[in-house]
This record gives sequence, C-alpha cells and structure tokens, in this order.
Amino acid sequence: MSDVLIVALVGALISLDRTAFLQMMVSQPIVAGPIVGLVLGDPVTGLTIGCVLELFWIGALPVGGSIPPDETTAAVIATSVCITASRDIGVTSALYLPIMIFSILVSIPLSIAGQRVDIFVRNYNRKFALNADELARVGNFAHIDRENLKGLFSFFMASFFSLLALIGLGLPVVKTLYPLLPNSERLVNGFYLSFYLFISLGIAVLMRTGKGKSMAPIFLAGFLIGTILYQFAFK
Amino acid sequence: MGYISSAFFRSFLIQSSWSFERMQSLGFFYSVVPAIRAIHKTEDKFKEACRRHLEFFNTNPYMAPAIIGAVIRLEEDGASDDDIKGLKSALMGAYGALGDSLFWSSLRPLAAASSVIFALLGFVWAPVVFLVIYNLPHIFIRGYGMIMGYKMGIGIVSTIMLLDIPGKVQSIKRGILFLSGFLFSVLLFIMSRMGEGGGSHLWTSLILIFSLFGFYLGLEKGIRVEVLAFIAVVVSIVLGFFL
Repeated sequence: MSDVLIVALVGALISLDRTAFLQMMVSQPIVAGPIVGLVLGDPVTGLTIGCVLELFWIGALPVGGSIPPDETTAAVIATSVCITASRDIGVTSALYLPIMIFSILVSIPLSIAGQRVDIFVRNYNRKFALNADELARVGNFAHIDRENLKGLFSFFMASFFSLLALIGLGLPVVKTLYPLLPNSERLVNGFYLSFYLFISLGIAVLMRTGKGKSMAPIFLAGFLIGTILYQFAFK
Repeated sequence: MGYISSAFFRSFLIQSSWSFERMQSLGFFYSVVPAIRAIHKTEDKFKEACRRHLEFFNTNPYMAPAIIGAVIRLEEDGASDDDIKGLKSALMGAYGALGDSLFWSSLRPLAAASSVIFALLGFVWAPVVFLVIYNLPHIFIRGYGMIMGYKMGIGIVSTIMLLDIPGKVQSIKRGILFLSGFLFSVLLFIMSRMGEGGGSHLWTSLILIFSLFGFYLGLEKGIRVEVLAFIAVVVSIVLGFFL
C-alpha cells in the first residue's frame, strides 16, 4: 500500500511536467517509466515499459486546446502494476515479459480515464482566472500572481488522486486475471511476440510523424545502415 | 535588468493555471509582472499594464519567452496599449505554430526514436539521451528568444525568420524516417538474438515486416493506436500457437 502511495506521489510530480511546470519531457514514458521503476527498485522494467509506450502516442500533440492521451499516466500505471503484481504473485523471470504485456494492456484504458481527469482540471482552473479578474476589478494587483501558482496545486492533486485510484484499480485486475491464464509455453511465446509487435506498432506511429516526400528511400537507408552496423558491431 | 531573468525563470510556469477559457493568460501575467512593476512607477500606469496582460494568451510554451522579452521592451519604451496588445496577438499565433511544429511534431519524435534505439540495445542511460536531445534546443530557444525579444522589441517579428524553423522541421522529419528504418533493423536484430530456435527466425521477421505495413495502413485508415495495441496482442497470441 505504501508503495502505491509513493508511486502516486512521484507520478503526480512527474505529471506536473506535462503542462504546469518546466515541460522538459521528464513526463515522457521513456523517462517516467524508469523513474517509477527506480522508486520500486526495478528501473529496467520501467525502461522496457517506457520504451514500448514512448512511441505509441508520439504523434499526439498538445496543440491549442486539444488534450492528447495521457502517456505519463499509462507509463506510471503500467510500471508500478507490473513490478508490484509480479512481486506479489511471485512470477519467475521467464514469465516476467507476459505480465509486463498484461500490465501495459491494462494501463491503456486506465490512461484514458487519466485524460478525463486532465480535462476536468483544465475546466476547474477557470476559477483562478476568474479570481484574478475579481482582484483586478477591485484594484488589488499585489496577489494576482499567486492565482497562477494555485494551478500547480490543482494539477498535482488531480494527478495524485487519479493515479492512486487507477493503480488501485489496475493492480487487482492484473493480480486476479493473470494467474487464471493457462500455463502454456505457446501462450508465453505469443506474449513475447506481442512485445516485438508493440515496438513495430510504435515504429508505424513514428513513421507517420515523419511523413513527407521520398519516405521509402530514407526509411530503407536507415534500415540498411543499421543492419550493416550490427554485422560489424556485434558479430 | 533583474526582471529579465526573473521573467525567464517565471516563464517555466506559464502554463501552471492553464484553463480552456484563458489558456496561458495568468501565466503570462505571472511572468511579466515583476518587470511591469519595476518599469511603471506610477500606480495608474502599473494597473493599466496589469490589465492588458490579464487577457487571453496562448502560444507554444517554448516560444513564449521571445514574446515576453519583446513585450517587456515595449513596456520600457512606453509603447501604447494597442501596440502591445497587437504584438502579443500577432506573435502568439505565428510563434505557436512554429514552436508546435518544431518541438511537438519534430524534435520530440526524433528524441524518442533515438532513445528507444539506445534502450533496445541495452543502454540504460537511454532516458538521458532523450532529455539531452530534446532539452538542448528547448532551453536554447527559451534563452535566445528572451534575449532577442528584449533586444529587438517589435523587430522580433522578423528575427525569428532567420532561424528558418520550417526548413529545420523538414530536415528533422527526414531524420525521423531514417531513425524509423534504423529502429526497425534494431528490432529485427534483438529478436534474432533473443528469439527461440533458428528456424522460426525467418517467420518472425516476416511477421514483423507485415505487421509494420499493417499497422501503418491501420493508422492511415484512422484506427486508434490503443485499438491496434489490443489487436497486436490477440494476433501474437494466435500466432504464438503456430510458431
């Protein structure tokens, strides 16, 4: 339980980076995943999950008033659920990747709930602008800048409680459903294949962000140079 | 001059109270208020300046310091209310579009692709690679924007053209495609190292190549990535029984 609290706290701090503070992209899954993993004593799991989730929503942009899917919430939930659930169930290392895929799958719908909360806060924050208007009307300009900082608190609290609730929801789902899966080597193989397919899906998303003239030749050039490099570097 | 650096640091909080209705308006006010307090000695002028900076504002957060710098310069020069408002509303749209295309739709995918490549190759500092690739240009444009905005004042409108952002976006997009191909070769490579049995390797490679085409077409058809992720798991579990 205390683990979930700490993860929600750290996750909410990381989430501030999405909009309210800095925007140095610490909130991207490939950074947020390992940080949450580090908190739970397993940064490599966080990095692997972050790696998968990083590319899924890379084409979704926070432009103007549009709110992109909450990839930070997905990364925090998937990492914490995977590490905590596998510790509680006591999975062996061979079965670790399947539970990781499982956690990622559970985190995806939950992150859509996270996005709803994000939209709620952005409506709620209207209050601070109205407060500022009122202060300006009465001519008290000394404290208006505090209204801006109050937004940090509302963003933080919303992420904290939504992470707490969503991890609390996802963890039992993974812990009860996962052991029900038949114990089959072929099923495990299938989950291994899912990992590669996830990365492949990420590459498809990535290619769409780089869409432009002469796509195929540039892609193939990257592919060939990569292939040739390994022949020298790893053989 | 202290208020320039104060505006710079405060600009990191420009979206702290972001709301659909006003977006960055309070954040912009928060960032310029130490400057206008120092510039406008009389109470009336200060209040008038405060009021004009509480209006709607929204731009790309990384481009905001350039506008803030120019606005502070105009406030110092005693420009009229209309001039300052005009500059803000002219720049926020144009700079917003430039910043969004440079940072959100180009640099972030580029940094992500690079760091995923490093991570898949087992380099545990991959997140640092991401942060460095993304944040060097990010911090530069914030600082450069603030300084140039303050120096040029209204001239900042044309200064930004010298950076040729649309040209850079085109090159970065080519880089993203190159890295996509590179990443795909990494994927096939790690699969061959981790994969079970030499015989199935050819099959799994073919599956991956077809999956890339399939996912790309699916995305082009407007299928959501979340749905494709679930399809990917179902497909791979089914295929798992044949491999």
